[in-house]
Amino acid sequence: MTTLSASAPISDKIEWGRGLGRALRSQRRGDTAWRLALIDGPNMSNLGEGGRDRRTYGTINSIGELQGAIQALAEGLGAKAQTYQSNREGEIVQYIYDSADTADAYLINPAALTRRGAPCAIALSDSRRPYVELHFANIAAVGWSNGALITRQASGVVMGLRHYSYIGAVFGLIGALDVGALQTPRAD
Amino acid sequence: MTQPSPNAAASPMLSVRQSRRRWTIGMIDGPNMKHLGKRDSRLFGRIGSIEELQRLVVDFGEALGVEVRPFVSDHEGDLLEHVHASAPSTDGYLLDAGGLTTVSEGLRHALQETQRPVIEVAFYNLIANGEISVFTPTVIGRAMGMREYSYLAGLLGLVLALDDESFLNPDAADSPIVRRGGQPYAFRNG
Repeated sequence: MTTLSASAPISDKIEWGRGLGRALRSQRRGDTAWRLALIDGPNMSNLGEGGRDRRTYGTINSIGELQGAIQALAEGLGAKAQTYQSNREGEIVQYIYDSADTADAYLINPAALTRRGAPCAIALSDSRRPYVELHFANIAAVGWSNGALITRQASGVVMGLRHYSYIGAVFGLIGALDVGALQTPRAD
Repeated sequence: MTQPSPNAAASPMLSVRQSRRRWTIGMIDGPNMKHLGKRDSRLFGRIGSIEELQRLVVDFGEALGVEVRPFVSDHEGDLLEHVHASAPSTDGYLLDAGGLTTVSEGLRHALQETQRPVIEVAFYNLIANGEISVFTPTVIGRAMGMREYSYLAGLLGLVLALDDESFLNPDAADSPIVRRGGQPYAFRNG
């Protein structure tokens, strides 16, 4: 059994993600190497000790640990994930336009841009790729129930399960792409 | 309520999970969900029946090393009584309230009083469809918009979070970051 204490080295957590992906691979109904792009918005670079509130964000130690584990999870599942984080809205908008041709679907934690990040929502819409919105927290618990533009346009939402929101969403998104429940125009 | 799986070695997931507990997960489908196969395929896709959905989720649970117990009803009172009766032997719930999503205070109260984590699941993005759930503010989390894979995404996340002794694990020691009782932390509101 893997023990995954908060103090485990990053490499252990990345390998844990890979092992998880491999263990789940037989549950897929297809084998396309979907190209996912994971975007984390403002403040998510501040995960870890002394940074973001652990009552919301749990024991994840850094954005690199999160991104590394998600990349490895996708690889273990037979897909690919590129990752991006920025604290600057304009850079995220640029990233979406730049990556659309090499991504089949997006996963985005818009973080502080959730309610007022219209430029990101519009860029995602322009990408014509399905996207799943992610959150560590249950954002409805603070009254954000109605959903802003980015949520209304999303294919799906996974939230409230800390970094397990990301893990559940990676599996769910790949599974939904496999069975054609979410359409993507493959550019290649 | 949760014994180690007799087939512990059989599931590749058990070598990866942070706990070997065979969690018991209640899968609750509310009104209209019993009639999958006759519903709008633009929202629900190609799934043929509620039994097909339940089998998919139960089988995925087996692959994870947990037991999923499905229940579906068109009757709100039956759903309440199912929650009351099942809570002592249930570690967490997957909830698709179906036609009660926007209206049922009774089912919300019943689930909240179980002190079990609940993941709200839905085939489509309810918010995109103008449906504001009464359940979302008090459940631990939500997965929607990936058709039947919303259920699998929610189940996977729930099982990994139950395994985690810094999050939903019912045996976790008290700590500000543990959310054993299934209540969401309202960040920045204290």
